[in-house]
Amino acid sequence: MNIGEMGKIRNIWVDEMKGESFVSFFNKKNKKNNQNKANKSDSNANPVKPTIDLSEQTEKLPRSYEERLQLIEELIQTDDLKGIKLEEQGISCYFLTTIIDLKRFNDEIAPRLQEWVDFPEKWHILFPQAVLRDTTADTVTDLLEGHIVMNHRGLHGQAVTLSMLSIKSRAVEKPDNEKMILGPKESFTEDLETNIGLTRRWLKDPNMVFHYFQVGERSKTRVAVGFIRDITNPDWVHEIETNLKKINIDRIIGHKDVMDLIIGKTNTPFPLYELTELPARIVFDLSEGRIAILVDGSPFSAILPCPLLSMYIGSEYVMQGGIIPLFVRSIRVVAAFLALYAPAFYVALVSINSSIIPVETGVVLAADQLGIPYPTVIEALLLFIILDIFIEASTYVPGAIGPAMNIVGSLIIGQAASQAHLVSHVIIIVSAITAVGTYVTLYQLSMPIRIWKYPLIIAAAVLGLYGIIGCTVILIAHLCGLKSLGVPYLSPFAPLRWKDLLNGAIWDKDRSESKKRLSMFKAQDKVRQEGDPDA
Amino acid sequence: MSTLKCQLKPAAVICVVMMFCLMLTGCWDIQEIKDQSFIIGVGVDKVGDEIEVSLLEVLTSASPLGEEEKTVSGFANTRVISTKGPTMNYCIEVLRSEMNKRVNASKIRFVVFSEELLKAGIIEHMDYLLRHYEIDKVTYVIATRPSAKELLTKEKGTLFPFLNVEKYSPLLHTIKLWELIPQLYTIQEGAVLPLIRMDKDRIKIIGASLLQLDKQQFVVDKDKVRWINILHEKNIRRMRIMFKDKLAFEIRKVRFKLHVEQGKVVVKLKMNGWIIQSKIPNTLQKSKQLEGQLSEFMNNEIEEVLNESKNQGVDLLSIGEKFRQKEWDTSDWDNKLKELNFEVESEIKILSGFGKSE
Amino acid sequence: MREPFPRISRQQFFFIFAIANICLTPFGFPTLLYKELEQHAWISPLAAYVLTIWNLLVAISLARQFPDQNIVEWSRQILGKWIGGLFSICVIVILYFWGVSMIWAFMLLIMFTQLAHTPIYFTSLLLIGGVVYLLMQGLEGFARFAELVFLFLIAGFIAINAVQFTNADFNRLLPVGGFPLDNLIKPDVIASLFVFRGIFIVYFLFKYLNDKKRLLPLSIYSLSIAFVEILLATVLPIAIYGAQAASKFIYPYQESLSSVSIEWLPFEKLTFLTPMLWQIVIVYVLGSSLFCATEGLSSLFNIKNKKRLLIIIGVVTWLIVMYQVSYMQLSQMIMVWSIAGLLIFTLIPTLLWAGLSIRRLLKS
Repeated sequence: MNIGEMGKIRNIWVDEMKGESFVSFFNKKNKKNNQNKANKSDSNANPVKPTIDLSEQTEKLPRSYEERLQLIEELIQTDDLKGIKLEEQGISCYFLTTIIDLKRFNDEIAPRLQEWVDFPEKWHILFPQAVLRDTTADTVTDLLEGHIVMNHRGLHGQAVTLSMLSIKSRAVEKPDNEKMILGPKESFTEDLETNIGLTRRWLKDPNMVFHYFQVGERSKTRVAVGFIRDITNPDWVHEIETNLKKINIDRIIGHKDVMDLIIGKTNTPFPLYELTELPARIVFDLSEGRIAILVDGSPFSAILPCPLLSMYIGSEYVMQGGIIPLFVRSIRVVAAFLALYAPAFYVALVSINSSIIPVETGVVLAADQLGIPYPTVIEALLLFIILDIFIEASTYVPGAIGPAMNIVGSLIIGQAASQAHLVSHVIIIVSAITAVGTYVTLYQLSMPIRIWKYPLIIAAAVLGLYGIIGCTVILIAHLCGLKSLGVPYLSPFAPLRWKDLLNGAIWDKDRSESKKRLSMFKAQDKVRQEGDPDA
Repeated sequence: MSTLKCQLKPAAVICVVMMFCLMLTGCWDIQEIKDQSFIIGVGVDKVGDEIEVSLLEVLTSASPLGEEEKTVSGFANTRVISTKGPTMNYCIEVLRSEMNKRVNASKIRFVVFSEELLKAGIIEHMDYLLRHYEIDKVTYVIATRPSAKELLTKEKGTLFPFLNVEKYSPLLHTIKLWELIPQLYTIQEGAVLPLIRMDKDRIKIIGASLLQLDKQQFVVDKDKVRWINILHEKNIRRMRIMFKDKLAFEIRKVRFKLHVEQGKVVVKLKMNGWIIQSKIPNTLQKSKQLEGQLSEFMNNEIEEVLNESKNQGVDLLSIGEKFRQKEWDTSDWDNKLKELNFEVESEIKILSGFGKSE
Repeated sequence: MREPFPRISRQQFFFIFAIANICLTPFGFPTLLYKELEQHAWISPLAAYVLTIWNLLVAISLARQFPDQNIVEWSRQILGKWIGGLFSICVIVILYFWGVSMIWAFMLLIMFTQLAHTPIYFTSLLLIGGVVYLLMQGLEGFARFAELVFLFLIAGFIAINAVQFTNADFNRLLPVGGFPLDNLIKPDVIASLFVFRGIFIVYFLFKYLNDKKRLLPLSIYSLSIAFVEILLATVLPIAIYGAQAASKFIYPYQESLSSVSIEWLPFEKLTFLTPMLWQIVIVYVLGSSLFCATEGLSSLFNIKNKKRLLIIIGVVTWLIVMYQVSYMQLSQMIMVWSIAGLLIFTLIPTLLWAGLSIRRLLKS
């Protein structure tokens, strides 16, 4: 490719950028720099590259026994590498003490070593689960994944590895974040296999497949993409898998890194992927045609695509009938609205649009406000910042102190502040409503609500109801511009899909009547139940 | 291009920050609720050539939320401030600067005019009220005797609850601003204002003040207000009709029909109800006869009110508007109205003896 | 990745169309009519409705002949580069001034009802900024917004109209006959034929529709929603106050709403609801207007970067709106603009349509 062609490609690329969203519009400069960097890196060297890159260690193991030992010790210089060398017999075992089961090693391997000395070829009889490796890369990878690497002077250029992996993992426990009252009470652990196993218990469909990927040049984290082959839209799977393959990063910890890299650059506080810790929940979502992404070491599963409303389908769907879930869902939506709008509305009413309050209420509010030394907006902002601090405190402070913090915050400080006429009584009521409303919604969603509260308060303080509506227009515009895997974030409301709304998105009428899957997830197999859905 | 953007971005940020700073110094519409005075009543009196405007202000107590005892109405803690001046605007301006607070007109619940002022005409004072966005069109308009200031001073928070449950007061003809507006601008519709006064701490209904355009023509006695209420289908729930001290009839339902012809107006009333008091023995057996007597009595009474108002030049039934709707000539309506003949045909049905069958 | 060509559904088109046609018309519009036509004021929206159906017929059949082009593109094709360009500029200016005049009207309303002292550049900044941001999400984002808010708006319109029926006396509309014929040809009344100007966005939206079948009935249903709302806004103040008293208000519809109080609500006034409703309506109107202006200018001058153009138009609008107009000036401006609009959007397309039809007949 000559320089002229490069220039052309650059131009095309710049043209493409013009068609992108507002966010990227302002960040074009940054992107361009990134692109430049990427171009440079292509020509020079891969930036994310460990000094020992196993993919480059393609050569065979040395034929000489001593050289093999030396190679392993050179490549892996950690102190938890243990080598048991029986010099006289010409046998050695290498393993990482931290990830193997030493008891099994003592019971199963140590006694058989003597027998192996004389018959090096009989390794597959002595150690039936072992495999023979002849490249450095394979051998070292096995070692890092919890194998025991055994060398024999009599095996030239080969090593026997045997898996003895034993990482202490949590037992399957009750879910912490998503409470199920009338539902299954098991949640994911940090172990990928366990998690997939838990999912398989719910769905014995041969079409439910999990594709493994290894992400992270150093961390080598395993990521599994799960979907039901004949339901899920294949384009989405393809898109996720290509994005996963493109990732070139040093390490991945948990879902955030993987999902950010799959979804790409976004400037939104709203979650574009849903996290759940319930295996049953994943099965529910997979069967709608969505895609689950599990990451080794993360006790959650991410679900894509993720429209806003799907996050309101809480655990209540196991409850009886369609009316109770509808009620619970509506309560959650109302709670979210209260948490978002109650403070702003209060500020607007008290400081600008007081003409719409009836005189009785007005007198009460005015009496309540008397003697407070600063304007309502300052009072509100102070109180809500403090409220957010308390929420953080009660969430992240360890052990039994957390709830105590909340009591200190809400009861003692609130009471004292209002008695000292530093804040009014009504705003404490409003902040209590806000705090409760914030928590009734899904945890992931409570964050954007907490953040968006502040612009609304400021707009309300400056422009009253006009400001609230103006700010809401911007908020809705923002949400309308968001997409998760091509599915508009506000579907099925916008674009409006009546059938989806009445068929499970908001009202799960009746199992016997909901015969079609939600159309917004573009499932291949559209029918959920036997029978003519349109009859 | 990218360097230009690079320079523009901080510039934009600086612009926004500067604008916000400018804003902080600028004028705002922030009106803290504690800096407002809640005016729930406005009174206008005529004093010589000038008017006297009184404002009824609800005082907010410093200790909120039930720590101090409160009356049922919630507005016991009120005060009246008043001043004299040539116009409404002038007086309110003076009062506002005396209070040193923002006058919150949105809380006004009633506007009181003294009878004297009503005789002189209220349109020029109404103009202020009609233009003001904050003043509700559901504000009550009341006439009083002798002065609005006195009414507001003595009412102690009782007037609004009294007006607000109007449907139980058959002798009270309440009217809201929106109903009055069209009537103020045309002689083809007459307006009726309730006329009340304070007697020590009790509200007394004197009657109703009848207006042509914006001027009071005459006053109807409170016992006759019920007939106006029937004609306007207002506050007729549980209205009672006393027939020569012998019989009391409580109306359950009224059906009202108006037949307008050139020179003749027929009012047809159909009503049913119960006997609730009677000195006549065997009332129910005589119900047919009593129904006839009652109807005749009502016809006479209502015709009397209609004729009186006609003679005073008040178009109580808005016949002029009906004429306009029929495309009949309404010019010189003053004289045409006086030539109209009113006829009332009422039909009464006694449903029962209200728990007593005799 | 290049953004795919935006597509809007028929349903979304229906929603945008209905609200853009309601516009802010219920506000200033009836007052002028009451003065001239008294209780016959309803005749004006009815006449406008009939004329607009004709306009729609012409607009859709013209647009159908050039399914992948907007008015700016095909008019230059028919009329030639210079005349077509001139016509396009007129079209763009009229649709752009639609948005500007409506913000002016809305700012007057907001100043009257809520924010008397807040600097206008700030109030308008929030509005225009919000709309520009909305349009930056792309046409699809705008359409989704329109779809999401539509149901809320319709509920709001039903609420504010239904309550007024309790106080309305429709006898006040009598007599039906006896039109003041002299007044029918007054400029104000003729200008009011242009009330449903929202339909002309079809010239720009047509090429983005993903399903262009049976567009005329759809548009007529949508227009009928707007017609019903505007008719009610004209009729209800007369039914409540009478034509004579209603003509004494600047915002008769607002005043007729304030004749209702709902005692069981914590907010006894319903009047606060209407500015909120209109604020959302104006997002539709301004969105459509700015969208048309951007589309038009970008195809006229072949500007590729629509987002930058949109921002420039937004800033220009903001600067224009900062000029404080009075109610009387605005009424004058709207009148002149409406008559110009009738000329540009009714007369010329009809002639073009007739010309094209005749040409086709001759060819065949």
